[in-house]
Amino acid sequence: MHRFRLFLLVIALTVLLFLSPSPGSAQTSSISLQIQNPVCVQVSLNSGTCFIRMRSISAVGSGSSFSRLRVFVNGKLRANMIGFFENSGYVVGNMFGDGFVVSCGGKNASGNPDYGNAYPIVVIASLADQTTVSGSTTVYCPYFEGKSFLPLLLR
Amino acid sequence: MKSSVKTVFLIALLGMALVISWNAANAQRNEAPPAPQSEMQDGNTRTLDSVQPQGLIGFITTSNPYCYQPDVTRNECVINFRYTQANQDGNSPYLKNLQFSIDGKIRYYSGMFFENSNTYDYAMVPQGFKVLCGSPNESGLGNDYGKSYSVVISAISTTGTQMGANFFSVACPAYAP
Repeated sequence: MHRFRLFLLVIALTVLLFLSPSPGSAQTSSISLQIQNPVCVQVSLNSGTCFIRMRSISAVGSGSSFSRLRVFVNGKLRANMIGFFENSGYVVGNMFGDGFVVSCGGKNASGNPDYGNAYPIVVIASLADQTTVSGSTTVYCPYFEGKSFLPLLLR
Repeated sequence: MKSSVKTVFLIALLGMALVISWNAANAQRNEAPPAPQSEMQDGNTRTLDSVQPQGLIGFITTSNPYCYQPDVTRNECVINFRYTQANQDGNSPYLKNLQFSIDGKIRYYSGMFFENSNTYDYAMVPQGFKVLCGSPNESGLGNDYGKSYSVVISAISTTGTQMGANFFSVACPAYAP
Protein backbone atom coordinates (compact mmCIF):
# COMPACT_ATOMS: atom_id res chain seq x y z
CA MET A 1 0.00 0.00 0.00
CA HIS A 2 2.83 2.33 0.99
CA ARG A 3 4.67 1.60 -2.28
CA PHE A 4 1.50 2.20 -4.27
CA ARG A 5 1.06 5.64 -2.67
CA LEU A 6 4.69 6.47 -3.40
CA PHE A 7 4.19 5.39 -7.01
CA LEU A 8 1.11 7.63 -7.34
CA LEU A 9 3.05 10.54 -5.85
CA VAL A 10 5.88 10.13 -8.37
CA ILE A 11 3.35 9.98 -11.25
CA ALA A 12 1.61 13.13 -10.01
CA LEU A 13 4.89 15.02 -9.69
CA THR A 14 5.95 13.95 -13.18
CA VAL A 15 2.65 15.15 -14.66
CA LEU A 16 3.00 18.48 -12.84
CA LEU A 17 6.53 18.86 -14.16
CA PHE A 18 5.31 18.59 -17.74
CA LEU A 19 2.17 20.66 -17.31
CA SER A 20 3.61 23.61 -15.37
CA PRO A 21 4.52 26.57 -17.61
CA SER A 22 8.23 26.98 -18.19
CA PRO A 23 9.80 30.44 -18.64
CA GLY A 24 10.30 29.71 -22.32
CA SER A 25 6.61 29.15 -22.88
CA ALA A 26 5.55 32.47 -21.34
CA GLN A 27 2.87 34.24 -23.35
CA THR A 28 4.41 36.73 -25.74
CA SER A 29 2.74 39.95 -26.81
CA SER A 30 1.39 40.42 -30.30
CA ILE A 31 -0.03 43.20 -32.42
CA SER A 32 -2.43 43.11 -35.34
CA LEU A 33 -2.83 45.68 -38.09
CA GLN A 34 -5.77 46.49 -40.33
CA ILE A 35 -5.70 49.00 -43.16
CA GLN A 36 -8.97 49.73 -44.93
CA ASN A 37 -9.32 51.25 -48.38
CA PRO A 38 -6.18 53.20 -49.19
CA VAL A 39 -7.31 55.96 -51.51
CA CYS A 40 -5.82 58.53 -53.85
CA VAL A 41 -8.25 61.22 -54.91
CA GLN A 42 -8.00 64.14 -57.30
CA VAL A 43 -10.51 66.59 -55.90
CA SER A 44 -10.25 69.15 -58.69
CA LEU A 45 -9.44 68.57 -62.37
CA ASN A 46 -7.84 72.03 -62.40
CA SER A 47 -5.16 70.94 -59.98
CA GLY A 48 -2.34 68.44 -60.13
CA THR A 49 -2.67 67.93 -56.40
CA CYS A 50 -3.98 64.58 -55.21
CA PHE A 51 -4.70 63.41 -51.66
CA ILE A 52 -3.83 60.04 -50.19
CA ARG A 53 -5.95 58.82 -47.33
CA MET A 54 -7.25 55.63 -45.75
CA ARG A 55 -10.76 54.84 -44.61
CA SER A 56 -9.28 53.48 -41.41
CA ILE A 57 -6.16 52.06 -39.83
CA SER A 58 -6.26 50.05 -36.65
CA ALA A 59 -3.48 48.46 -34.66
CA VAL A 60 -4.45 46.40 -31.64
CA GLY A 61 -1.88 44.99 -29.27
CA SER A 62 -2.01 42.39 -26.55
CA GLY A 63 0.23 41.92 -23.56
CA SER A 64 1.97 45.25 -23.82
CA SER A 65 1.06 48.88 -24.27
CA PHE A 66 0.63 50.32 -27.75
CA SER A 67 3.61 52.51 -28.48
CA ARG A 68 3.30 54.04 -31.93
CA LEU A 69 1.95 53.87 -35.45
CA ARG A 70 3.76 55.43 -38.38
CA VAL A 71 2.56 56.08 -41.91
CA PHE A 72 5.10 56.39 -44.71
CA VAL A 73 4.18 57.59 -48.19
CA ASN A 74 6.84 57.06 -50.85
CA GLY A 75 9.38 56.37 -48.09
CA LYS A 76 8.70 59.65 -46.28
CA LEU A 77 7.24 59.64 -42.77
CA ARG A 78 3.96 61.54 -42.95
CA ALA A 79 2.25 60.65 -39.66
CA ASN A 80 3.35 59.54 -36.22
CA MET A 81 0.80 58.39 -33.66
CA ILE A 82 1.55 57.32 -30.09
CA GLY A 83 -0.33 55.48 -27.39
CA PHE A 84 -1.24 56.98 -24.04
CA PHE A 85 -1.91 54.24 -21.48
CA GLU A 86 -3.74 52.16 -24.10
CA ASN A 87 -3.15 49.07 -26.19
CA SER A 88 -4.43 50.22 -29.56
CA GLY A 89 -4.13 52.92 -32.17
CA TYR A 90 -6.89 54.00 -34.52
CA VAL A 91 -7.04 56.33 -37.48
CA VAL A 92 -10.60 57.01 -38.51
CA GLY A 93 -12.57 59.59 -40.44
CA ASN A 94 -10.70 62.81 -41.11
CA MET A 95 -8.08 62.50 -38.40
CA PHE A 96 -5.47 63.35 -41.04
CA GLY A 97 -7.55 66.18 -42.46
CA ASP A 98 -7.99 65.96 -46.22
CA GLY A 99 -5.15 63.44 -46.42
CA PHE A 100 -1.53 63.55 -47.51
CA VAL A 101 -0.85 65.88 -50.40
CA VAL A 102 0.95 64.28 -53.36
CA SER A 103 1.44 65.08 -57.00
CA CYS A 104 -1.13 63.35 -59.21
CA GLY A 105 1.34 62.94 -62.07
CA GLY A 106 0.71 62.91 -65.76
CA LYS A 107 -1.05 60.25 -67.77
CA ASN A 108 0.73 56.87 -67.68
CA ALA A 109 3.32 58.18 -65.17
CA SER A 110 3.32 54.84 -63.38
CA GLY A 111 3.00 52.71 -66.52
CA ASN A 112 -0.75 52.48 -66.31
CA PRO A 113 -2.47 54.68 -68.93
CA ASP A 114 -5.54 55.14 -66.76
CA TYR A 115 -3.57 56.66 -63.91
CA GLY A 116 -0.84 59.11 -62.98
CA ASN A 117 1.70 58.50 -60.21
CA ALA A 118 1.72 55.42 -58.01
CA TYR A 119 2.77 55.71 -54.37
CA PRO A 120 3.88 52.98 -51.97
CA ILE A 121 2.35 53.28 -48.52
CA VAL A 122 3.85 51.55 -45.50
CA VAL A 123 2.24 51.46 -42.07
CA ILE A 124 4.33 50.27 -39.11
CA ALA A 125 2.81 49.73 -35.67
CA SER A 126 4.71 48.73 -32.57
CA LEU A 127 4.25 47.98 -28.89
CA ALA A 128 6.34 49.27 -26.01
CA ASP A 129 8.29 45.99 -25.97
CA GLN A 130 9.23 46.56 -29.65
CA THR A 131 6.82 43.94 -31.00
CA THR A 132 6.19 45.32 -34.46
CA VAL A 133 3.88 44.70 -37.38
CA SER A 134 3.89 46.39 -40.76
CA GLY A 135 1.66 46.55 -43.79
CA SER A 136 2.33 47.93 -47.24
CA THR A 137 0.32 48.70 -50.31
CA THR A 138 0.42 50.88 -53.42
CA VAL A 139 -2.14 53.45 -54.46
CA TYR A 140 -2.59 54.78 -57.97
CA CYS A 141 -3.55 58.40 -58.37
CA PRO A 142 -5.78 59.83 -61.11
CA TYR A 143 -3.64 61.54 -63.71
CA PHE A 144 -3.55 65.31 -64.19
CA GLU A 145 -4.31 66.35 -67.76
CA GLY A 146 -2.68 69.72 -67.32
CA LYS A 147 -5.73 71.49 -68.65
CA SER A 148 -6.43 74.94 -67.40
CA PHE A 149 -9.96 76.24 -67.39
CA LEU A 150 -10.08 79.95 -68.07
CA PRO A 151 -13.09 81.86 -66.84
CA LEU A 152 -15.45 83.10 -69.52
CA LEU A 153 -15.44 86.88 -69.33
CA LEU A 154 -18.40 88.75 -70.73
CA ARG A 155 -18.25 92.39 -71.67
CA MET B 1 -22.95 22.05 32.06
CA LYS B 2 -21.44 21.50 28.65
CA SER B 3 -24.21 23.42 26.84
CA SER B 4 -23.78 26.46 29.10
CA VAL B 5 -20.03 26.53 28.34
CA LYS B 6 -20.85 26.40 24.65
CA THR B 7 -23.32 29.27 24.99
CA VAL B 8 -20.79 31.43 26.85
CA PHE B 9 -18.18 30.61 24.24
CA LEU B 10 -20.52 31.61 21.39
CA ILE B 11 -21.51 34.86 23.12
CA ALA B 12 -17.82 35.70 23.63
CA LEU B 13 -17.13 35.03 19.95
CA LEU B 14 -20.05 37.20 18.91
CA GLY B 15 -18.83 40.00 21.17
CA MET B 16 -15.34 39.84 19.71
CA ALA B 17 -16.74 39.96 16.17
CA LEU B 18 -18.80 43.03 17.07
CA VAL B 19 -15.80 44.83 18.60
CA ILE B 20 -13.60 44.04 15.57
CA SER B 21 -16.19 45.23 13.04
CA TRP B 22 -16.85 48.43 15.06
CA ASN B 23 -13.12 49.18 15.14
CA ALA B 24 -12.82 48.52 11.40
CA ALA B 25 -15.72 50.86 10.66
CA ASN B 26 -14.16 53.57 12.85
CA ALA B 27 -10.79 53.17 11.16
CA GLN B 28 -12.43 53.51 7.78
CA ARG B 29 -14.24 56.68 8.88
CA ASN B 30 -11.03 58.32 10.15
CA GLU B 31 -9.02 57.19 7.13
CA ALA B 32 -7.03 59.94 5.45
CA PRO B 33 -8.13 60.88 1.92
CA PRO B 34 -6.31 58.93 -0.79
CA ALA B 35 -3.03 60.50 -1.84
CA PRO B 36 -2.61 62.03 -5.30
CA GLN B 37 -1.65 59.47 -7.88
CA SER B 38 0.90 59.52 -10.64
CA GLU B 39 1.63 56.87 -13.26
CA MET B 40 4.28 56.53 -15.94
CA GLN B 41 4.26 54.27 -18.99
CA ASP B 42 6.37 54.31 -22.12
CA GLY B 43 7.50 57.91 -21.56
CA ASN B 44 3.98 59.19 -20.79
CA THR B 45 2.80 60.47 -17.41
CA ARG B 46 -0.64 61.03 -15.95
CA THR B 47 -1.53 62.52 -12.59
CA LEU B 48 -4.66 62.65 -10.49
CA ASP B 49 -4.14 65.50 -8.05
CA SER B 50 -7.65 65.77 -6.69
CA VAL B 51 -9.32 62.49 -5.94
CA GLN B 52 -12.85 61.44 -5.07
CA PRO B 53 -14.74 62.91 -3.33
CA GLN B 54 -14.21 66.46 -4.57
CA GLY B 55 -12.39 65.41 -7.66
CA LEU B 56 -12.16 63.63 -10.94
CA ILE B 57 -13.47 60.14 -11.43
CA GLY B 58 -10.19 58.55 -12.43
CA PHE B 59 -7.46 59.86 -14.68
CA ILE B 60 -8.20 62.04 -17.69
CA THR B 61 -8.55 59.71 -20.67
CA THR B 62 -6.55 60.58 -23.77
CA SER B 63 -6.32 58.39 -26.84
CA ASN B 64 -3.80 58.34 -29.70
CA PRO B 65 -2.00 61.66 -29.86
CA TYR B 66 -0.48 62.17 -33.30
CA CYS B 67 1.39 64.56 -35.53
CA TYR B 68 1.18 64.51 -39.31
CA GLN B 69 2.57 66.46 -42.22
CA PRO B 70 -0.16 67.16 -44.79
CA ASP B 71 2.18 68.54 -47.46
CA VAL B 72 5.87 67.64 -47.77
CA THR B 73 6.61 70.96 -49.49
CA ARG B 74 5.62 72.94 -46.39
CA ASN B 75 7.19 73.13 -42.94
CA GLU B 76 3.77 72.79 -41.34
CA CYS B 77 2.64 69.84 -39.24
CA VAL B 78 -0.55 69.20 -37.34
CA ILE B 79 -0.91 67.83 -33.80
CA ASN B 80 -4.15 66.33 -32.63
CA PHE B 81 -5.48 63.37 -30.61
CA ARG B 82 -8.37 61.03 -31.23
CA TYR B 83 -10.24 61.99 -28.08
CA THR B 84 -9.83 63.02 -24.47
CA GLN B 85 -12.29 63.13 -21.60
CA ALA B 86 -12.40 64.18 -17.94
CA ASN B 87 -15.23 63.17 -15.62
CA GLN B 88 -15.96 64.68 -12.22
CA ASP B 89 -17.89 63.29 -9.27
CA GLY B 90 -20.07 66.37 -8.83
CA ASN B 91 -18.67 67.54 -5.50
CA SER B 92 -17.16 70.98 -4.91
CA PRO B 93 -14.63 72.16 -6.06
CA TYR B 94 -16.00 71.47 -9.48
CA LEU B 95 -14.25 70.88 -12.75
CA LYS B 96 -14.16 74.28 -14.43
CA ASN B 97 -12.37 73.58 -17.68
CA LEU B 98 -10.11 71.33 -19.71
CA GLN B 99 -7.13 72.90 -21.42
CA PHE B 100 -4.39 71.78 -23.80
CA SER B 101 -0.96 73.31 -23.97
CA ILE B 102 1.71 72.60 -26.56
CA ASP B 103 5.27 73.47 -25.58
CA GLY B 104 3.93 75.51 -22.65
CA LYS B 105 1.44 77.57 -24.68
CA ILE B 106 -2.28 77.03 -24.06
CA ARG B 107 -3.94 76.25 -27.38
CA TYR B 108 -7.38 75.04 -26.31
CA TYR B 109 -9.90 75.84 -23.57
CA SER B 110 -13.11 73.95 -23.02
CA GLY B 111 -15.52 75.09 -20.31
CA MET B 112 -18.37 73.36 -18.52
CA PHE B 113 -22.06 74.18 -18.44
CA PHE B 114 -23.90 72.28 -15.70
CA GLU B 115 -22.31 68.99 -16.71
CA ASN B 116 -20.07 66.39 -15.17
CA SER B 117 -17.81 65.57 -18.08
CA ASN B 118 -15.71 67.42 -20.58
CA THR B 119 -15.06 65.65 -23.87
CA TYR B 120 -12.84 66.48 -26.81
CA ASP B 121 -12.94 64.77 -30.17
CA TYR B 122 -10.45 65.34 -33.03
CA ALA B 123 -13.32 66.50 -35.24
CA MET B 124 -13.94 69.43 -32.86
CA VAL B 125 -10.73 70.97 -34.18
CA PRO B 126 -10.59 69.45 -37.67
CA GLN B 127 -7.63 71.57 -38.75
CA GLY B 128 -5.73 70.41 -35.64
CA PHE B 129 -3.03 72.38 -33.85
CA LYS B 130 -0.50 73.65 -36.35
CA VAL B 131 3.18 73.47 -35.46
CA LEU B 132 6.48 73.53 -37.30
CA CYS B 133 7.63 70.13 -38.52
CA GLY B 134 11.32 70.87 -37.98
CA SER B 135 14.38 69.60 -39.77
CA PRO B 136 15.48 65.95 -39.87
CA ASN B 137 16.67 64.63 -36.50
CA GLU B 138 16.00 67.98 -34.81
CA SER B 139 14.64 66.16 -31.78
CA GLY B 140 17.38 63.53 -31.87
CA LEU B 141 14.90 60.78 -32.67
CA GLY B 142 16.23 60.01 -36.14
CA ASN B 143 16.05 61.53 -39.60
CA ASP B 144 12.40 60.61 -40.08
CA TYR B 145 11.43 62.99 -37.29
CA GLY B 146 11.67 66.76 -36.96
CA LYS B 147 10.60 68.55 -33.79
CA SER B 148 9.13 66.83 -30.76
CA TYR B 149 6.46 68.69 -28.82
CA SER B 150 5.49 68.34 -25.16
CA VAL B 151 1.75 68.33 -24.70
CA VAL B 152 -0.12 68.77 -21.41
CA ILE B 153 -3.84 68.16 -21.04
CA SER B 154 -5.04 69.61 -17.72
CA ALA B 155 -8.29 69.62 -15.79
CA ILE B 156 -8.68 72.84 -13.80
CA SER B 157 -11.06 73.24 -10.84
CA THR B 158 -13.30 76.20 -9.97
CA THR B 159 -10.73 77.18 -7.33
CA GLY B 160 -8.00 77.27 -9.95
CA THR B 161 -6.18 74.16 -8.83
CA GLN B 162 -5.12 71.38 -11.16
CA MET B 163 -7.30 68.32 -10.65
CA GLY B 164 -5.38 66.06 -12.97
CA ALA B 165 -3.17 66.16 -16.03
CA ASN B 166 -1.76 64.06 -18.85
CA PHE B 167 1.78 64.69 -20.05
CA PHE B 168 3.26 63.30 -23.25
CA SER B 169 5.53 64.18 -26.14
CA VAL B 170 4.71 63.70 -29.77
CA ALA B 171 7.30 63.81 -32.54
CA CYS B 172 6.45 65.23 -35.94
CA PRO B 173 7.63 64.11 -39.39
CA ALA B 174 10.65 66.06 -40.59
CA TYR B 175 10.43 68.84 -43.15
CA ALA B 176 12.92 67.72 -45.79
CA PRO B 177 12.00 69.33 -49.11
